[in-house]
This record gives sequence, C-alpha cells and structure tokens, in this order.
Amino acid sequence: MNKINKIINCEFSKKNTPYTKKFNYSETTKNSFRLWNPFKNTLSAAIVCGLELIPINSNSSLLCIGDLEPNSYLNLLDLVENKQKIFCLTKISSSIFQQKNLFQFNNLNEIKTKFSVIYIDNYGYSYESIQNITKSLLNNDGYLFISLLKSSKDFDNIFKKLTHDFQIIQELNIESYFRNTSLLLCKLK
Amino acid sequence: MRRLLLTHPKLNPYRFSPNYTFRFLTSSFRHLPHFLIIGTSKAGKHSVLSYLNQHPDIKAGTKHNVGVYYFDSTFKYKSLSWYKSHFPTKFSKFKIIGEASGTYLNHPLAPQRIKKTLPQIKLINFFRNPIDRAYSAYNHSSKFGWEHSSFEAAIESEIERINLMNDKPELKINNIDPVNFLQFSYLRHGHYASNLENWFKYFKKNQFMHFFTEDLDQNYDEIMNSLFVFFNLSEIKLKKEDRKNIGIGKGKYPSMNEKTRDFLIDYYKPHNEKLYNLIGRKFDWDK
Repeated sequence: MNKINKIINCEFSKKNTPYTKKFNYSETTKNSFRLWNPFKNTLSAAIVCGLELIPINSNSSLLCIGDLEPNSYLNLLDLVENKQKIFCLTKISSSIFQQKNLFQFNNLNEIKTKFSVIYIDNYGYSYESIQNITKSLLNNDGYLFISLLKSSKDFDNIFKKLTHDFQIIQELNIESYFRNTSLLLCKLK
Repeated sequence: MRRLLLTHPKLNPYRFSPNYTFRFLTSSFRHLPHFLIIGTSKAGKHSVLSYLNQHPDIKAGTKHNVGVYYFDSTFKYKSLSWYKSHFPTKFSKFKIIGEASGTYLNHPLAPQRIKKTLPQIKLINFFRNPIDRAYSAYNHSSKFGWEHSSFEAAIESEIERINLMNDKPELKINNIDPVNFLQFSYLRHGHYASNLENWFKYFKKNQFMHFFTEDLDQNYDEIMNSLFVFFNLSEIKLKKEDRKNIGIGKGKYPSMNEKTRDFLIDYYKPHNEKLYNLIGRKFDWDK
C-alpha cells in the first residue's frame, strides 16, 4: 500500500539521510538502496527537513527544471520505479542521461506533453516564466515543487503571486542544507 | 572568545568541550529525571520551571535549556549517558530532577522509549487553549523565517495536507522527524486527546498530572504545591513570577482575526470534548 514509504527510508541510516530503493534492485544486488544526498539536492533536503508528502510514484510523469546533481536524477528514477519517463531541462552533460527513461532537453518548446509533477530547482526564474511553464505543462491536478532563494529581492513578490495562483501545501525551510532557501510544494488552485 | 574556541571548525574540529567531557565522564553518577513535562509546546514551560525551581529540593530544566528533547529528536543519535550528562550528580542537594520537552506529547515513539528507560517516571502536562497555542507556534515560525504565509493560509495548508494524507496514504512519507512535528503542525499539536491516548497505552493514569496554562497566572501556588505533593515533597510558599519567554525575542504579536478564531473553535470542538472526557476536567476553550 505505502509504496513510497518503502522507497524513502529516512530512518535507514543514523544520520537521518534519505535513501531510495534502487529501481534495478534484485535479490543478488548487494546495495539495494541509493543515497539521496540532502546537501546536493533540495528535494532530498526537504525530506530531511520535514516534507510530509511526496506526490511522485510509479504513475507520475515528471519534469525537472534546473541542473541537479546527476545522482539525483537516478533517485527520481527510483521513485518512479523506472516505469515513467523523466524529462530533464538541464545543460549538464552526464552519462546518466543514457538511461532509457531519462530525457534531456535544452529548450522547453521541445516538450509537448503534460506532467503530474514539475520540479523547478533553479533560482533564476521570474514568476511569469514559472506561470507559463505550469500553465502549459502541468496537469490541472498536478503538483509543483519549487525552490526559492529567500534572500533574493524577488522572493516576497514571487511568494505572493504563487499563493494567489497555487495552494501551498507545504513550505519547507531547508536552510540547514541550502543557505537561505525554501522549497515549496504547491498545487494549482 | 570562549565561544569561538569551542565552535570554530578549524580551531576545534571535534567541538571538544571540557565541561561536556566532564559531564559525560561523570554521567554514571548523575540522576535520571524523576519527572518530565511532556506537553505542550508554546504552553508556558519556562514559567512552570521558574516556579518549580523555587523549591529547594527541585532542579528542573538544564543549564542552557528547559528540556533535552532526547526521546524525540536525539534518541537515535545520542546515548543515555549523553542524556544523563545534562542532569545534576547524585551528590548534589537536589532530590527531584526533571526536564520539560514540550514536543514529547506529540511524538508517536516518545512514550514507548520513555517507558523503556524511565518506567516509573511522573508525567506532567500543561495544556493551553489549542487555538492560542497554534497562533503562538505560527508566530514563532514566522519570526524565524520558516513560514511566509499568513496564519490563515498556513492552517489551510495544514488541513490540505491532513486531507491528502488521509485520501492518498501512498503519498505520505514515513518521516518521523521532530522538525516535522515542531514546525508544520500548528493544528495537530493541539489534538491533545489523540496524542494523550498514545501515552495511556504505556503509562498508568496515576503517573500523570494535567493542568491548564490559563490557570497558571491565578492559581500558581495551588498548582505548584499539588505538584510538590505529587513528588512527595513538602509544600512551600511561592513568589509570583513574571511570564517568561513571550514572543521569543521579538515582542508581542498582533491578535488573531476573529473569523479565524471562530473557524478554529469549530475545528477543535470535537478534539477538546475528547480531552475533557479523557482527563475528566472541562475547560472554557470553546468560546
């Protein structure tokens, strides 16, 4: 029933670090869990800092915007159990993108499908571009993860506009891992 | 200078502290607490401890804080010796030792951990009107920059999360992190009855004493002396103390919107009713 509970196991290590159950896990695999480093990924940091819900499972279609640490893409692939494609808008070059369910893009216009979850891990976006992305690419009942720099001039403005268009499900203060950063989990109103 | 020497990552990479080392090494000569104030956060723990510490035989709280938060936040990482290092030695003049960690009441694993370590412990609850408690917790989070939404939006988000977790349990993360309980459960911290039921599974009812924070200002003498009797100590005449730790450094906050209060009165009615039945006392919270 609680598949996600099995995948993310925060109590697995003494240091309260999340792990994901490897999608290519088999009885013969020695290490069946993959570390999800909270110092390198905002979503992982949010899990450690008290995220209560994660709407990513084997049925979720996922769009990642921003240059994540390469291993984090594998963690996300673990969450969708390698059954769904993950679209990644990033400029980093890594052999990880040779995985059959990871698709790398350089331009949003190339993406024609809608997603159940969009994860924006980039501080440089204006609210208008966030709005355009979610309008054209997020399902009506989809979820948005977005990390914001609290010390930026635009934070109050973006937060205000976000609360107007989205229902904020949880605001996570992830300062212990990323300086002055909050991660928001939102749903379209 | 002392702080720099103790915390600088290059000068003191292992955070060696003579005081801590001494306390840790002498932990086998130290008391374990005789009582715990387990609930609730934002309900006047600091004031309660200042009254308790007026008794010459009681040492409540630690050197730097009111509680150690061992059975919820540090249980997995720290040892019992570490916990004991916070308390006075058995050679000290104190007969009764205690600490106040207001988040224990809400932590699902705290009762069984405490039962295992301290089966005969005396447990004390101070309940505050859950509406005022929630607003106080929100203002705490907001002032520390953890929360940027309005109080209304924050409780709406929490209700949305509660509903989502009930409707779609597969989305829930099994993440019993104390931060989770502390920062993001303005409403759930006030579900006193359901939290308390968990404790009654492990401890006898005569191990508990329950009070209401709102009574503290008027009846501090009566409340504290009933606690002294509960600890088998003599009663004393107490001095009135000022309220402690109000607004945490940034002063008082604006009062709550009346509509929000009305909504929360309705929200908490069934939870409060359950609490009144559970502890056999009624309080004037539903107005």
